[in-house]
Amino acid sequence: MPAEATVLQCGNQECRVSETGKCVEGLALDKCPHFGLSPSDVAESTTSQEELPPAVLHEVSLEKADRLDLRGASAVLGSAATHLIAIIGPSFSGKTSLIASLCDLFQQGRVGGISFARSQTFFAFERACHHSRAASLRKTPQTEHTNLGSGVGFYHLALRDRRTPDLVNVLFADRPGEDYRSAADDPSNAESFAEVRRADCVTVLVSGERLLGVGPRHNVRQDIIMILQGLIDGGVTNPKQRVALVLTKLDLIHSAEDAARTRAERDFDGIVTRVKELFGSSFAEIQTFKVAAAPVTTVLSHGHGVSDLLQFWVTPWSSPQTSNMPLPRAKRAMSRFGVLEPGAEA
Amino acid sequence: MDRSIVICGFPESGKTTYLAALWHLITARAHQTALRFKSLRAGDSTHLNALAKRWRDGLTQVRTDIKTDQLVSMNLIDAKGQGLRLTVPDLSGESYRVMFEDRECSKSLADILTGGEGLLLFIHADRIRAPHLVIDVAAQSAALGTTIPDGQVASWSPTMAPTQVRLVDLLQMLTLHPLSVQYRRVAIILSAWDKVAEEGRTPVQFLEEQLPLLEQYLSSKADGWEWRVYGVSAQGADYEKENQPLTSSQQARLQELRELDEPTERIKVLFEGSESSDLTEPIAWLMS
Repeated sequence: MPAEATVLQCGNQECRVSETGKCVEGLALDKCPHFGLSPSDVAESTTSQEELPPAVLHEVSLEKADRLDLRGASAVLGSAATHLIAIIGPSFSGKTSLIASLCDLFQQGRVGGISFARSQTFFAFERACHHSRAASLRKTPQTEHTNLGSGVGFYHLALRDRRTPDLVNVLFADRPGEDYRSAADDPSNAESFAEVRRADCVTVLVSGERLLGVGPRHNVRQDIIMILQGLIDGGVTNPKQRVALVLTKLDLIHSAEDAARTRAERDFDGIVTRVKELFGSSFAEIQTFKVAAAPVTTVLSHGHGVSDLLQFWVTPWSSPQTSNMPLPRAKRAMSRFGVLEPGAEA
Repeated sequence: MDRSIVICGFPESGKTTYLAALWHLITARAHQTALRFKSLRAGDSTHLNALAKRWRDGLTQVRTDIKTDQLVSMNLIDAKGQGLRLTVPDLSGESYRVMFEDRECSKSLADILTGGEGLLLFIHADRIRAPHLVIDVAAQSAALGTTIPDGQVASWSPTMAPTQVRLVDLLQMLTLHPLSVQYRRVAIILSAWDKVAEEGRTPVQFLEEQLPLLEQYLSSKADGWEWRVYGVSAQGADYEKENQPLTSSQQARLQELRELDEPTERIKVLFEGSESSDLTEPIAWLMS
């Protein structure tokens, strides 16, 4: 605050300190950087700061690096052999953390013999990693929640797997958990899940954190079963698809007391058994994994177990879905997710 | 024959210092180099002479302003005795920062990037920003008995991206529409190598350990880059900077350099186990 400020005025045009005597930002008047200044003072200083960066003619637009939409994903599918992984689970089951951990792991080196080759979605990955990084100024790791209504988006990696000579493209589909839960309420909601229809691997996440909760644990199994039932009844799965059932937030289970840990592990085994009983014939294969993608404790390393899952995702499969597989023509535009011709609408 | 290469790197990655030392090396003709001086007839050497003078004086180069981007030309002779006019852009690292963060560039920059025959990619070996995990920082704080202060959570911005993500993305952008550069040779210049030389690693080992994502990207050949990595110390020590006095040990080291009879001896270039002062070698390889 300028020492000689004698009138109640503020450089912030929205502040009514002259009328109310209070700072619009809730600050003490002697702490407010704008108090005592006139709006024109602030405008001048803002203008001079804005003039500091050099003037650059931004005439050429370059490729964005955010999540791909259906059109972008379709272009990848049409360009090269691509594994599409649909990551499915209720809200807060760790979908974005799992995807983000891949970016972090490759920044440390090769992951189980698989090396990074390229990515079209660096900004999306970096944004997803942000809240587990110190730069976020957080005290405990968090993950950005996929916003309700944001629809499906895709993260892209091209990888080199020493088991195969060619590069492998992988698209990870991310959609709000609430969307998937809606398939359990009404299977027709699943019709718009184009990413599930085209998925080579349906990856279903089971939250270890919820399994530890005495109350929530009873709903976990039923949530998973009902979501899978909704997808099957909605007609977006097929028997060529493989399923990965993934127990997430394993660090929390390992950090729990013995009784809670044993119970959570037993519950997960029970979910696996039940899913195999009910849906084993609907899919080509069901495998289980346990991961701590972004641990909030130090009992397991960052990305624990993700390497095994990645191997499963990119394993050459005897009955892969090809990128130009004819897809059923659906009423809703988003279900027509396949290879789009340039200029076609997604 | 007119030839050109592209020099690329984020702010303060050593691009201009390299050019300054290169021009001194070529014009001094004190050492055998892959590319040799032919004449001053390539055009106006004012900018290069000014850079080289500051370098000889032990003064830090003035940060290249985005508005003063320059194309400099050198009249040289290659190993086969053929004359060539090498054009090199002295571009501000800001131009590349804007490319990465704002996903756009000027038409003139796009023309320069697409017009070269190869790429010198500069990375300051001692200023690599690696991501740190909250969980690791919290564990370190706990081990030290300190607490992480409460603060406002920072939202994500591209400025926070780790060095290797920026570099891989930049190389990818060059290969993608609308730039779609035709060249596929990149010489990675790990500048300020004297700052990390004591660690005893080769430049390739340094790349594998400090920038593994970049090493994987290049090794994968996903975009077809043919690459080499050089450890380059073009200054040999910290140079004087306006308003930033050197420590006594830095001052002593700079004095040692100034006392060398031939400034070229300040330069060290490491490549595949051999050491030289030949800053023209990466350029000669790009054009070979």
